[in-house]
Amino acid sequence: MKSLWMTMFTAALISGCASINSLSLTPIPADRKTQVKVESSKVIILGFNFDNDFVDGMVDDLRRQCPNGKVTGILTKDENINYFLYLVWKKQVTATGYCVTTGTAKAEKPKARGTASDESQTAPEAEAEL
Amino acid sequence: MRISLQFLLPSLLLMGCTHSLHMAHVSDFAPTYQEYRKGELVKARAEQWTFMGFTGNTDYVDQAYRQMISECPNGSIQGIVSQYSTSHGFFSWTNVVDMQGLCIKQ
Repeated sequence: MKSLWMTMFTAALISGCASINSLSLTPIPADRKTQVKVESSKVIILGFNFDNDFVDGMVDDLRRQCPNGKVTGILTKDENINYFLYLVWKKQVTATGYCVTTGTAKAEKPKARGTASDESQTAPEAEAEL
Repeated sequence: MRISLQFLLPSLLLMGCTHSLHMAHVSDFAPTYQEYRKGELVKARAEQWTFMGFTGNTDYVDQAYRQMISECPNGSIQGIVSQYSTSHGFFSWTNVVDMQGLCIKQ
């Protein structure tokens, strides 16, 4: 019986509890051939944390994975993983997205609003909606 | 009176009566308003039940993301609203991720 309790106690100490702090998602492209992913984390003990610099390098990492295109459809997940009765925890940020090469990116580029050619098409629709 | 309290207390404890929205995010509406009108609303939802918060992963978020993508196989999705909320129960709660956006077919 004692060993069972010890096992349960050790398991509770070692196992981590994961929870989400925040998430966000940017527009997802039609071209989803190339996926890019970046993960960054930091272990914090007893809440002593003096900076959040571990997140700063993520943009450069994404850029390196997609040098000739744009990264979009990015799911950013900020989560906490708690260990040892919440005395130690890991902050982890994960960003997953798609690299759209420049040719495709140009095809999806929006038209400038308010131009003469746009006005003739959008104005009747806007009026109809009102 | 005492009997009614005996019924009231367990019923309060057992039912899940509170919901908490932790965050909501709205992405860009791109490329244009004109194409927005041609879109189709797509939704994705994933849940994770936990007892006292004991869970080792947050894979349900990725599951919602995959589901969202599969809802619009040949198009781009814009104007995405993503929400993260929790529904509370008796010593347990359910984490919920909701996503919805506009699928613009190519």
